[in-house]
Amino acid sequence: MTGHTLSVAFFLAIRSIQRGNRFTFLLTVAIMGLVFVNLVFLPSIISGVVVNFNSQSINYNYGNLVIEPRENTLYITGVAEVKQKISQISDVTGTSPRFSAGATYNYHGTQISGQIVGFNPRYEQEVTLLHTRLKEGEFLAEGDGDSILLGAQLAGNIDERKDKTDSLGGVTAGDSVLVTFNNGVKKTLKVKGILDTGSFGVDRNGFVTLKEINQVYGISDTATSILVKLSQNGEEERCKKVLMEYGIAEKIRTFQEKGQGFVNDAIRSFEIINAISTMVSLVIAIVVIFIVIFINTINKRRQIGILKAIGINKKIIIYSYIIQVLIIATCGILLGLALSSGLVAYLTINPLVFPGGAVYPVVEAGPVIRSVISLALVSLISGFIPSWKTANEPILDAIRGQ
Amino acid sequence: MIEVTDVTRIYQMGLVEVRALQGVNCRIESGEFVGIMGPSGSGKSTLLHILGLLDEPTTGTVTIDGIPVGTLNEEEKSDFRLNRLGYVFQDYALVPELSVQENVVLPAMARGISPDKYLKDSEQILHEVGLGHRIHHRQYELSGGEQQRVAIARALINRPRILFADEPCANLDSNTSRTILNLFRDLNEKFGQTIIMVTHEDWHEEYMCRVLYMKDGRIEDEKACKMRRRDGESDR
Ligand SMILES: Nc1ncnc2c1ncn2[C@@H]1O[C@H](COP(=O)(O)OP(=O)(O)OP(=O)(O)O)[C@@H](O)[C@H]1O
Ligand SMILES: [Mg+2]
Repeated sequence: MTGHTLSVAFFLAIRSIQRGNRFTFLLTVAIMGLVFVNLVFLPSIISGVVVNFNSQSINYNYGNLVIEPRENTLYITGVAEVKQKISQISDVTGTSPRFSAGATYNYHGTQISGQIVGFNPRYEQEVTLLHTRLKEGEFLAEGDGDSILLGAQLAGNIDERKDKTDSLGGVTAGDSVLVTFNNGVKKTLKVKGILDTGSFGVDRNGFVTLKEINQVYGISDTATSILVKLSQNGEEERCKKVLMEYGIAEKIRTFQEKGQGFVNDAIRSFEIINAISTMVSLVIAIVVIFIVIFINTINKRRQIGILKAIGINKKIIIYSYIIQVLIIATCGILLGLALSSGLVAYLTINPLVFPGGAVYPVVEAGPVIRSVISLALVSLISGFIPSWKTANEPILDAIRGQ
Repeated sequence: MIEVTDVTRIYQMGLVEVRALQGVNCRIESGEFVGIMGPSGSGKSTLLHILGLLDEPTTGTVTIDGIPVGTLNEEEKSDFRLNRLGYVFQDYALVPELSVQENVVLPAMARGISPDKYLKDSEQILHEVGLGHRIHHRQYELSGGEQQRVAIARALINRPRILFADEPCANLDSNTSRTILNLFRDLNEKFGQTIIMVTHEDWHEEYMCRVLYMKDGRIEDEKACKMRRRDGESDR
């Protein structure tokens, strides 16, 4: 029974789509396509923001893991030993001890307070990608003294209107800036390069070699943090445990933990907006798709009555409407996929610019699958209810269309 | 063979009862071509719907080929209509999205007949009704008479025991009506097809074996006509 029930239903559905009302068909497909785009697009931007933020964090701010001083201490001491220990772990591909302190920058009478970070340029290159983001000049070399790299935001532009925050007013490579370290030492440093990472926290800083820091503060083998790069992203939690088992007594934090706060709040707000927008578009989809299919089915009321009168099983009739609707949904989803791909392609070439840098849409399987399932479900329901209702009417009522 | 015993059909319209049928008794033999006539509102369509299992009597029983059809459930009635009954409606009631042949084969597809057989059968029947050259046309390309012949071919594809027709010629001019009636007569004569047809036109009588006259929900009179019933079952 069911075998030919389905094949007859399929036959009727195909013919109805092939030779029925083109306009209704195209309209419904278009609506579904647009709803699909709406369901997929915003999540892809949010994912893009997350991915962007994560890679910014890893590449320019923190590496994968950050080792910080123990409770109630300000510095990590015996850095060489700690570094040595960490380097033995197979997942670790680089470690870079850093020393950061407050500093005041002076340039042509403009004064800005900020952070100054010291690192070993060779080690730093194993962990972060700062050396790839030079807007001008050169990266620090291991033995450099009296040299500094400035973040682009800090260096600023001669034309103030181009600045996003207060800046030194257009420092370029080769200029000199007067740096007052937070222990009171003043030094004139030559700007070796300008870093432009797009990451706000980085582009406000100045960078010198650890050698410079050691001189200024009269310390050695001391750091305020050690950045750790792992061979693979996403392994942070596991590797954190491994490090702890290796006897690292310092605090270990993942880049996510370090980055909490501002961006996480933003993402959470985004997700609320996204949930609301998803709900609204789903409700609109349900209503529109339901109305279009409902009216279409109600218009076929008499025909359904006739088919029943000549002995066509009502299952065949209901299935044929469900199949029709699933075909429409499939076309709508395919259209939606095409439109979304187009939009994603466009935004990949012309990315949206967020505070953390350019954001590329990231289409994840989750929202796509969710949208496909919701649309299929909505269609199923709006195909089933009216056809079921009509097919269960007394034959003569349906034929008379009263 | 159809036996109708004390059939009534009462429509409840709010507080008002409409007595469309008020005790109909009759018997129609296999192989008969029976007409139902009478003034408008006399209950012809109502009776035909009940005989054709599209409606149920308020009281009374209908037996078709020994089966008391009132005892069948919805699914069984649907199968009964598919396998044993054929319908022709006044306005043809074709599926506009299907071609002539597709309309005709639909009831056979629904029975699970193999495509080879139903395609062959449909071609043969379409030839019989004179539409051999219109097989792949669509409804909008056909005249009213041609559409009605497609509807008749569709009603015949499953070789029904009984063919019902409710004013099949009402929308047709008299020449076209004659083609349809000739077709019915041929089916009745050649194959012993049982046909029950509602009509308003007195001149249709000449094609029929017998006419039942209805008035006020009762069969008031009946008359044997020129045509004789073919003996035996409709064993086409
Ligand atoms: N669904 C219904 N609800 C209420 N009354 C109905 C309904 N169907 C038919 N009737 C009434 O039943 C009576 C018989 O109707 P029926 O359609 O059988 O007449 P008919 O002989 O076929 O008339 P016509 O020649 O105009 O087609 C009429 O009075 C009609 O108004
Ligand atoms: Mg009538």
